[in-house]
Amino acid sequence: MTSNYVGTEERYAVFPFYLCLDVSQSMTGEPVAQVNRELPAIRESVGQDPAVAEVVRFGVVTFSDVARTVLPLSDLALVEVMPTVEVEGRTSYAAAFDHLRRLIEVDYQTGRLSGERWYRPAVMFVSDGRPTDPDERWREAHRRLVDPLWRRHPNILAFGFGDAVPDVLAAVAENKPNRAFMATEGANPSTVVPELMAGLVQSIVSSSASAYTGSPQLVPPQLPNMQAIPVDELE
Amino acid sequence: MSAVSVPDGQGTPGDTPLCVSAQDLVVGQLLAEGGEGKVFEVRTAPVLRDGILGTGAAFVYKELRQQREVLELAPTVSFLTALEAMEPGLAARVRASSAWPVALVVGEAPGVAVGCLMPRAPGCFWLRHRDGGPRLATLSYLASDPDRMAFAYGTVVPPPGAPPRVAVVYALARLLEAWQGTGVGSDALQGSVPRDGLGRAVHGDLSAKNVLWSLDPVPAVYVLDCDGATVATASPSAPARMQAWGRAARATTPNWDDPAVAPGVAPGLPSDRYLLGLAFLRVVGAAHFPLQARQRGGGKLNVDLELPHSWRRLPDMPRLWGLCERSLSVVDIDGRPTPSEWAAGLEELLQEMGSADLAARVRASQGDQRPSLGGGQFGDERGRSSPALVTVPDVEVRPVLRRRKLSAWGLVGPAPGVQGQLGAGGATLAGHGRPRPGPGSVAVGTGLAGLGVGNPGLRQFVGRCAEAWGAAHRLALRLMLSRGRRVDGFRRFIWVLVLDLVAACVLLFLVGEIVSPWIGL
Repeated sequence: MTSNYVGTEERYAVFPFYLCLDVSQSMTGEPVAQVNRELPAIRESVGQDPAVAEVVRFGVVTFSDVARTVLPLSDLALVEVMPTVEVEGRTSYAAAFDHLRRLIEVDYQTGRLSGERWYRPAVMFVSDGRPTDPDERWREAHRRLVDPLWRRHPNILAFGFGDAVPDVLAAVAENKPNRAFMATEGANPSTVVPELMAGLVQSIVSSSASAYTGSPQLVPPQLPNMQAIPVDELE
Repeated sequence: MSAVSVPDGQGTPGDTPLCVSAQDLVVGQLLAEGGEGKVFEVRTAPVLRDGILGTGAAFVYKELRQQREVLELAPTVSFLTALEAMEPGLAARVRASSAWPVALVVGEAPGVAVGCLMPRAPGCFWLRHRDGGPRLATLSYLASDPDRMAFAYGTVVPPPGAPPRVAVVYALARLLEAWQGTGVGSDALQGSVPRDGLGRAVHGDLSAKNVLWSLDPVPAVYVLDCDGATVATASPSAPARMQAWGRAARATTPNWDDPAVAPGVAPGLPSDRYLLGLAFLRVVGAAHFPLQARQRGGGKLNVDLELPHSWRRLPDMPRLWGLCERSLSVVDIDGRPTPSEWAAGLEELLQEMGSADLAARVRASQGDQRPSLGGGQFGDERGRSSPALVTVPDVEVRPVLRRRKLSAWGLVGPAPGVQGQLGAGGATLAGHGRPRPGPGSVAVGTGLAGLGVGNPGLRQFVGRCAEAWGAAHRLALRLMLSRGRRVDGFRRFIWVLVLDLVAACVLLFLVGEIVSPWIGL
């Protein structure tokens, strides 16, 4: 009979989530204000529950002309204050994907040094517009991010509203079923953003529960004013 | 408000649940929402029956998502009434330590329950985070690193291995003892067949989120979600479906489930016993041991339970570790120890820790002073035979005594250059989101003041020396007589003998150099 040793210091593998937020000019006004109002709710719901916080690591990246890490990947129970985001310039998807590629690698290596084990990270990509960089440029950056030969490549959930393009979002989510969502036509951003953030919390909490089973799943959120973008099943 | 009668044909009083009409119920705000239904506060507490609903206690109303037949839920709601009639002491435990449903709420359709009334968790089972509102004190706080809880939430919990942690598990074992009817002196209750008229209750989801704890004023537990419990009853009048364990598989919590139960199968009495053993490991060890996935994967499970260095003073307790091993076994499921065995074992442990009063206070707070009888398998000094130690092939639990390390937790703020909600005053980050070293746990000690050195007096000083001398000898002898700790005991005994020798030499020197000349020898 083989032996499995379990000690007090042994921790569960963690489930890293990166919220990648579009902060281009089109987010000016109510959308960005809503984001800033709802970000603390993620900390409240995820970080204040010891069982959920134990297995979830959460980071926030914003992107416009450039991408920035506004909240490094953290144990939300230990996050004192959530950051606020500000509107900047254009909508460079390439900047976001390049930044995520570097960030995930660095976070993984840092976590590994401190003894953390990781499940495949998840990126929650939120945008209200179409990419302003050349098509080939952002697709190349995206290809590097989801490259199957890179062992840390994340699973991506993509959410769009406003001027976001469903086909582009589907491509960001690698054309996988139930991974890309678009707000229903005419939906008000002031309604969509809070629901989206609540859906993200629900997705994180449900995914964290599955992390305890040893067979984690990225659970997509249920969003009343959003519809999953249908994608073809590849042959 | 009016009571609603239930369909006739229930033979025993215990089969007749108290029912309340939904029209008479005035509910307040939504308190919680889960997969099975919504929980509301009850604004108008119904006063229907003295001793149960007329106590003035606060109640909550759980509105079921799927309406159920009254007959289906009757055994669960009637369990407490039947227990009250036959075993008031056990009923007191259930009432003190669980939100057991006290009445069904029926709608317009006869015989259909739309929800149930349950007592609300008392105030001592709530806590406040550093910056938040009241939260239920779930077992998650005790099954985590205490330093992390202090840094993250400002919640101070006892260190691993502390007697209050043992007492919390003891309170849970006493509750399960009442539910499962073991250890109350009836042989009929020891088998798997329930006694006529008094069923056995299976909660099935004794997870961290469903078990609340409190240390003030007394270590205690309060189990939620009891409306999903099942009661097996052998009442001849009960419908056949009630005589089986469980109606259907209830949703269990990942990481707090019994790996021996296949998906879709209702957890039974052995599952609650598994979770009691798991609760002991996680609460006393203050760690969230990842066990189930490995147990499902097969192979022997070896658990190193890290305990504080102070446990070295305790004698070896192979039976306690045996209880852990048997509880967690997925091979010998029927051999999992009864809650009574656990309760008796924990009473003994608390006694060894010098905290027997904690056990007595737990019993008093649960309204049943009787000590646990041990279910006939956990031999102790109360006169029962001490059977051979039972071992299981698939689990080994080993205590590992270590000094606690300094805490490595620290708070994290927004990235440098990013404004937080509180402006620039937010904490800065050390490393990429990794906790920065915190200022370690604060050691609380009495120092020399505790020994009375400041104003000893010769008699007091000699008395304390004699007391310490006796304690050192007793401890060494006890360890030498304990299986598994003999080497440690022998080493201590050698040290004690060396000290005795040194003391004798000093005494002889003093006698030879001071006392003898003084008396003229």
